[in-house]
Amino acid sequence: MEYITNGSGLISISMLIPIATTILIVFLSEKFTKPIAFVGSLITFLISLYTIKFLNFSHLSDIYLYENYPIIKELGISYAVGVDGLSEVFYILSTFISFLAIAWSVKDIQIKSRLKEYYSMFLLTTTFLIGVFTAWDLILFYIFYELTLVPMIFVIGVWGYKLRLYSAYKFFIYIFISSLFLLFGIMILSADSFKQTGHFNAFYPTLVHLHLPLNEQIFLFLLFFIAFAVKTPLVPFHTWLPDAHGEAPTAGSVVLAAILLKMGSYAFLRFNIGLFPEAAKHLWLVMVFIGILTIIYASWMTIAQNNIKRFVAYSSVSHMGFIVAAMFMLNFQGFRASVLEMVAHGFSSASLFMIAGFIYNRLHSFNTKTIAGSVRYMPIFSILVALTGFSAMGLPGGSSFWGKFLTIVSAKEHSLDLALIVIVSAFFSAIYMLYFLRNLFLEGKTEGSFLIFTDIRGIKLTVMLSLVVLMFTIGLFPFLFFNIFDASILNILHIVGMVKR
Amino acid sequence: MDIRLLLGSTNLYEFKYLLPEITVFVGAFVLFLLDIVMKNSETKKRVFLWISILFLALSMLSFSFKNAFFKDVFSGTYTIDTLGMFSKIFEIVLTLLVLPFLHTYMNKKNTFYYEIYYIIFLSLLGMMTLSSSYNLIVIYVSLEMVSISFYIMTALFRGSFISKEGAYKYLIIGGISIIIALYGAAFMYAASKSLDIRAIMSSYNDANAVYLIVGMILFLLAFAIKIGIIPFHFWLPDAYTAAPTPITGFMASAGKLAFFIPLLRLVPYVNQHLYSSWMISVSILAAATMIVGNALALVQSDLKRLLAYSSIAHSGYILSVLSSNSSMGLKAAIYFVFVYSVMGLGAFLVLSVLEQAEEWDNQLPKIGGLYRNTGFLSISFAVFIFALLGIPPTVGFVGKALVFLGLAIKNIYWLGFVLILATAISTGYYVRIVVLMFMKDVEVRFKPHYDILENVSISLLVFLTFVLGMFPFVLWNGISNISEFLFKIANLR
Repeated sequence: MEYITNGSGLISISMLIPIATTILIVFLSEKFTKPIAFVGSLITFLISLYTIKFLNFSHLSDIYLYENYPIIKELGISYAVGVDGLSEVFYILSTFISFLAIAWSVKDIQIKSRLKEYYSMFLLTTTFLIGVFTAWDLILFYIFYELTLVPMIFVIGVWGYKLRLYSAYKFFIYIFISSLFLLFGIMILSADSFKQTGHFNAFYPTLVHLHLPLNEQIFLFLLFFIAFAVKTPLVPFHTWLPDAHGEAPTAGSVVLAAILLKMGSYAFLRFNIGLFPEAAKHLWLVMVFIGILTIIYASWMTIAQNNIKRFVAYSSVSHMGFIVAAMFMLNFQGFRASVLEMVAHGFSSASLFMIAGFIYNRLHSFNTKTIAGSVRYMPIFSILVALTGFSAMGLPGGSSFWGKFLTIVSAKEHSLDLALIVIVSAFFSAIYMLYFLRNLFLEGKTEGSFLIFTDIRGIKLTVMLSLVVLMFTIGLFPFLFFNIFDASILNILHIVGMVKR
Repeated sequence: MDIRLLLGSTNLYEFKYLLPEITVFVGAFVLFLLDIVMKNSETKKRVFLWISILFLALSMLSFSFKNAFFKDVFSGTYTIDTLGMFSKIFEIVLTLLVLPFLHTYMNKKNTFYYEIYYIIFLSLLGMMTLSSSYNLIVIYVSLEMVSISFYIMTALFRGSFISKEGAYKYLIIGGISIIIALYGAAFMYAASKSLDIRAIMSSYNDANAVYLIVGMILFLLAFAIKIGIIPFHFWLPDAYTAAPTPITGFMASAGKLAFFIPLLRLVPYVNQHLYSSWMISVSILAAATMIVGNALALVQSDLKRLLAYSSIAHSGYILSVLSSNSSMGLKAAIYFVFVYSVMGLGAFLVLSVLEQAEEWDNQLPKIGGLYRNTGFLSISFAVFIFALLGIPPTVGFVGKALVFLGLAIKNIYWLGFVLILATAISTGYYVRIVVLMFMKDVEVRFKPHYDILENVSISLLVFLTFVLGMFPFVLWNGISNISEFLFKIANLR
């Protein structure tokens, strides 16, 4: 693994631009807020796209755009940021989704008050998310991981729906407490490094080379697991999610589901597997079964919801189960499936939450009974809904197809029984999407009982259309994405010592 | 030590090392004289404020005249070192930050007690001497000086019943703790024929072990009462609630800092004979303090009391890492003590501004929608609350991370999990405050007033809360050297 400093500074710049934009927003009049926020997040997104230019596609396991400034030298803590193929994917995903969330909010009638604070929170979230996905120092990662909580609790609590205070409170408490275990784990790791090498260290590429005995690895694996299992979330640690996602404003749910959940699964891949490979090999079957339990339980819970937003939220949980199950197959196809599914879920969950938000704007209800059949009166919107639904269901050509297919393939590498179990759980996730589509298209009262709605148009149409196009890009050309992150996940597989192709 | 020897060996030249302390003492004296000479008026109030600020600034300046980084002066009764200097600078700065609030607070309450200015100076003098001595007598006298000033300041508003009750409790329990300290000091002196803690601790042998340990335990017990370690904490919430809020902030920040310094100085001298008993007793006390302090804070509805209990819990965090008895642990403890004084003071000072409003009675529901009333104060308060909770990039996070590191390096994992549990409990009440402030509708509508000095002082504390957290090396490099140095000297003996 090499550190390539070419183009370094770009990541820091892309982290500073949202902060600068926030400062502008705070000091300028409220009528400039929306355009400034829009432009600021657009520039951030464009910079993150521009960083692709510095990547060498034949050596994507190296760390590009590398920057390193010591924070506390004695403790080996430094501001070390950079991207490898895997980080790059999430780096661009987070700036992109943040941009879309801000673009969507511009026309969201739900956001009437405290505009300055609202956009500031989203811009700050962008900065922190970039930090999470590009940090190579565990302490730095933890700092950004925690920091994402602060703006999100305000987004949920101030601009959310009825139960927003309760949800914000619950969201914060769950994630903050669980992440303390992570902090303790990182510190134990750092102390272990001191005992072995004489230096405190929190730098990931160095910590990878520590020789930890199996029991120590399992102990640390479990500490990290608590934090990331709550964040991902895995059943039974998922109860904060339906509340937080259900009560947040649309753009908040989009950012929460599309990127914040990926922090958990990304960290599982990077840290739990990368740092404690022996423990991962020891516990892989347990993790796979927790994943499958999550899929099945969340799928059933999804079907039982009568609030469409909670419905989408539970479907996210189910998807995350797939991601974790695929990841802990610990083979190449499993990792591929997992990462691709993370990206795919980033787009599809964003789109689904936007659908829910759009319907609420028109009908002022999330209740499945009230909104049943409503999309029939909005032809363009209904096409987008259908495409999103089928894509998230995992039909060939849709975004989730490759994720599910490759999960089955990777399970087959272990045993046929496991593959059959995965197939059955994949079937559940198709069922709830069918429920979703049936509810919106086929149920409900006959014509004339609804007012005539304005169809989706303008900026919202652009946003949703771009998401749908990207979903089908994943479905039809998955190799565009594989090419970026394959080298990095092979690198992690090297660490695990399970390279099979 | 013979008193004649002490007097005979006193070198006038050595007084230059005491310049900051002398400046503070002269300041107290000048204020005292002014109080007698001047008639009560608006001018007098302002003169007192500015003269106090002037003397504190002079005292800060006088640090630049010293040229020793480690020196025992006055026959070893007084030690000039970096830890002492750091803590003295902090204590002076914290006092400076408190003064403007005291001024407006008393103005608002229409009862202006001029004596508080020189009492606060005398307590500061006590803190400064407490921070720089290994000598039992000096520690005892300084402890008395700080405590008596605190009793008086707690009872400042003598008309109010709560004030009297709190001060009375504080006086009784504080008096007992002083007696215990004296008793412990006597044991230690009897065991080792020395008054210097360094000599006492290194005189450990099998013959005097019992007396030494009894003495040490009694002496530590006194400090435990002073700091408010559970189960010796009962005076603390009452006294903190009773005192005028700026004074509460002063006691919780500078006072706590000063009371912790002798404990920190003791750590390198806990040798392998004493280690296991030290580890067990300190860690159990720390665990109890963290859990009970936070659990009691969780059920409070009075904000000032809540912060008082949170202050107890923070003593527990600091104590927990002292149990690891390593150089790393000492660094973490020193860092946490310093930064707690910043964030704890900030929280109390915001409260003191709010208290000046008629409609405000420190009840938790009243804070609902504070953001609509005052953006600046509520954001500052949120920053301090997040710092106390330990959210990065504030100082509280760095402090907690260092505590975890200190525990991890000595494999005291169970205390780490207790710390997690305690922080989990604390999340409940800290987040409730933030949620109420920003996400509720306005409970009571009022406009708190703060003048420019108060604004500067709170802004500075917010600034420090962030900067010492984001760029911890500012404080860390100094602290790291201090700790290594203390351990090096301890091992030389």
